[in-house]
Amino acid sequence: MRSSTGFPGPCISNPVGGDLVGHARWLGVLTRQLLDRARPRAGADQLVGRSVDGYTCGFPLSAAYDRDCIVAVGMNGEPLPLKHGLPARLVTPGLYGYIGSTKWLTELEVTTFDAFDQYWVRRGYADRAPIKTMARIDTPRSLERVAAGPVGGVAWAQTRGVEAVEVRVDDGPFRPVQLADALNRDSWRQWRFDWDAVPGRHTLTVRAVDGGGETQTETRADIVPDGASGWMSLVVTVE
Amino acid sequence: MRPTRKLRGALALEADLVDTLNSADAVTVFAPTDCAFAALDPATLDAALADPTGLLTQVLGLHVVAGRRLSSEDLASTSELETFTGAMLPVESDGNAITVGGGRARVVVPDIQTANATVHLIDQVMVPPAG
Repeated sequence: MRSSTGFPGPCISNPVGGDLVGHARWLGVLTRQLLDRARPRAGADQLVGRSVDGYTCGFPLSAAYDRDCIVAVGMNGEPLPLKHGLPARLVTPGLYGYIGSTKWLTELEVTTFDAFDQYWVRRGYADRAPIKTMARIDTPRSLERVAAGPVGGVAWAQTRGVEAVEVRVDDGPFRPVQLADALNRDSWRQWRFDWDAVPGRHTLTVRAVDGGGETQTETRADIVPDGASGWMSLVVTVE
Repeated sequence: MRPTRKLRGALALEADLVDTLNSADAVTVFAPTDCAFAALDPATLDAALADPTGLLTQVLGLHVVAGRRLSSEDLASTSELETFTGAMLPVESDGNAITVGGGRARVVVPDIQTANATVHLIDQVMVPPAG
């Protein structure tokens, strides 16, 4: 059994600033240990997970070997809840949920991308979807009227880690903010900005820099086909 | 006249307000239909697009009330609302129709619920008075 901290990745439908992302401690078996026993044939390049209702996820077979992809049976110290995939689910850091985190798992199939399109690929989503670097402001809330105080949130860049988070007030420069310790390269990192705010309406913008030194893209991308991107901004009024 | 949200979304993107609107916990939006946008004086639209953090934000802001999801019933018993830019929005109701912005815009489809907003479609874009 292997314990792994990370999270299954945001839902592909998570927009910039969205809440379709979580964080948990998982307990399970490394998928590559199962694959060692199955002995995939040469040429196989896709691992497909099939759910009780016929749903399929699919991701590069290599991801089972280059990171802690697990078949999880426990979550946060307890048996996997029904809502989160009891009796077993895949958890694959670095890939959006629809790609690598099938819940209610009944079977794993080793195949090829040529031979098989998983459920969402057939509906227009990408067949490869690494999780994009993202930062989010959690407090204050958008359009809130607040007293001057700290700003905080989370940032993630699964498999790469978060090296820095930067915040901009209105049209000012981006400035690095305080980061909480990183648990590992897959988990999110909390950040905090002690804002010396002047009363009035302000726009806060946040962006993250990953472990490779790359700043998340400012370019806005929609959820389809491979995940939203962009620097989150929100407007608040300081009283 | 089923409107699409594409044009409103595009304008919110121009004014950098997409995340602000999407992640706010509760808002009431007076959303002009695409017909309303089409009827807007092109010079005003151009001026707003040329000034995304200024005029465009003021125009869009006039259409958003933060912190509350107001139903058409709530609107019928209100005479004024503070929009998120601080500008006040007059509201009138005669029992049949609700108009906002000093009688400029009429609610044509009320009470559309989204994940975080109550949206009332209106038939005019409200433009703040010049000056």
